[in-house]
Amino acid sequence: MIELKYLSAGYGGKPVVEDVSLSFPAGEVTVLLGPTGSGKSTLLKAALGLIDSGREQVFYDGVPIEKLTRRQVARQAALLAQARQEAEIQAERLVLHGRFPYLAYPRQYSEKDKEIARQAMERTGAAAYAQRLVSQLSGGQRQSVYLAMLLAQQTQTVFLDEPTVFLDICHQLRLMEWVKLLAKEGRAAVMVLHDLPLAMEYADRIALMEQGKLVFLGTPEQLYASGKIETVFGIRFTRIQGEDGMHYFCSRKEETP
Amino acid sequence: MKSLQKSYTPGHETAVVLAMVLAAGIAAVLSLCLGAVRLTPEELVRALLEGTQGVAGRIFWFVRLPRTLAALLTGAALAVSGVVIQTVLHNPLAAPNIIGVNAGAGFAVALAAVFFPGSLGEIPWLSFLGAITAAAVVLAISRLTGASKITLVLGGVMISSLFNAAIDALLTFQPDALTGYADFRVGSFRDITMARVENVVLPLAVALAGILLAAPALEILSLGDETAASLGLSVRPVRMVLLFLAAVLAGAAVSLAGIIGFVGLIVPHFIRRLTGEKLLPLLLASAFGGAAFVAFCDTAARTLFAPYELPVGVVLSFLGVPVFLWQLLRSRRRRG
Repeated sequence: MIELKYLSAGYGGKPVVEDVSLSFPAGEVTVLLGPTGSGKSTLLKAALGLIDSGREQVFYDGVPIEKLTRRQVARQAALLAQARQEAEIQAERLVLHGRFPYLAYPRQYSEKDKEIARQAMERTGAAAYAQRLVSQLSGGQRQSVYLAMLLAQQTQTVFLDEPTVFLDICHQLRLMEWVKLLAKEGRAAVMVLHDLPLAMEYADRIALMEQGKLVFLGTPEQLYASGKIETVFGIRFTRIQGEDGMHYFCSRKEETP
Repeated sequence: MKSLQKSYTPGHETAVVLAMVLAAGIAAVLSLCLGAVRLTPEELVRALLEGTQGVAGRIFWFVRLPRTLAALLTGAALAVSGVVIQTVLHNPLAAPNIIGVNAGAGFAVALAAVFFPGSLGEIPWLSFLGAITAAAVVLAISRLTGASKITLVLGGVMISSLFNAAIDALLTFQPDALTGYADFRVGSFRDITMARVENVVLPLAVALAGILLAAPALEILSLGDETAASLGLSVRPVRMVLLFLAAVLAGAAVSLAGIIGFVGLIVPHFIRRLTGEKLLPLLLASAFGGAAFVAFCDTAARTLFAPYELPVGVVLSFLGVPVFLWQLLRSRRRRG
């Protein structure tokens, strides 16, 4: 399990995230919520050791991340990055790169790696366009290829940085179902989301951030009861009981002139 | 690296590499045979076997072979350098001539020629030093400014023009400093000697081998910094080492031919359309394709208007630009 203890992290010595303690237990979908600039993506990067944080603040199964090599980290935690280079690369080759953390020199992928990549593509539905170029796929297809790469990496924890942007609503919902399934299989899933209703409906736990600090951690139900969303985002947040569960709505707060 | 390449169909990478090897072979034979004195293929073989006996043998060993080798090596070095720089900086506009690496190397060579005339053996090393310095400056600029693609290129263009101005200043005071380098500013192989080729062969081979060995890491890097790091690649050191090796290649090219631009920008784009981002075939095909391109252009440069000789840099632009534009238009038509 990955744990953050009093984490402070940022760029060029200026902390963006301050004093956050948080862990990502297996079997649960943890969603990081917060306004733009509240430090969600920074937290994600610090948890993966991609940016500098204080010493002894990020732990992988109790081991501080400074003691692990990049490859060791990559065998325990995978990232679906937000900013990606849409390379002219075949889908199946991209998925195969999910096995990169396991390669020894001279870095040739084995038959076993290829088999793992193939199974991953079949699971996410990417097998149908394995031969195509990633740059020529639609947003939804591309996402399924990147998800297959994530699966091929076979990590205990998966981080997804705003995975629903650029997806149509059908693919957004499919992706959320997918992440839930990954958690059900025993992985820890951590995602940064901007869509509040989506987060409330699918998360097991929500970590709410504001100005680099963790201001709330709990179930969606608890979060709703606390009223914190309304204060942090400055909106009205309501819900109604539908046939298939709660539905959430955001609206602008009435401002008295 | 989108927009500029769309026509790659997977599965043909090996064929592309073989085609480029063949092209380099043909260009090499043409370059060896053609010139003021035409050598027949039999004379070529005899010269190879018998050494410097006879006129043909002497022409082959003292004139043609150094020149052909220099052209092949320069083309391969610049093209591979371009692939690495474009991939490492995630920038299709980057290339050794654009980001100031060639100009940095050129400045170092000019500086050496002015202050230490006759220091032939040291020139390659100074050239590497100049290229590496320019690469380091550009990298530092990109880090300080937040590495946006356009500031990187802008910074490189600045560095490039600064070094070019410095070269001009040096040559204004010492017009004859670069006597061993005909048409240094545009690039030429007219005054090439075997000694100069021998001086760069070793560092060039080491840098090429290092880059080919790092091809898998380079391919991971092409997926973007964050993805690469999350796959376990140590992005910063890998980028630094690869950029360093690319600078060595560009430095080697400059110390052979002067400031040849263009090859490092165009050849990688041309080849990438055929191989995609599969780095090993891309690097190999670029190396042979670049070698073929420069050797072919150099042959044209000295035969087209014989007995006059054009600087190879001029021919590269006259031949390369139309070919590249034609390919752009063709792939656009295919898409639309």
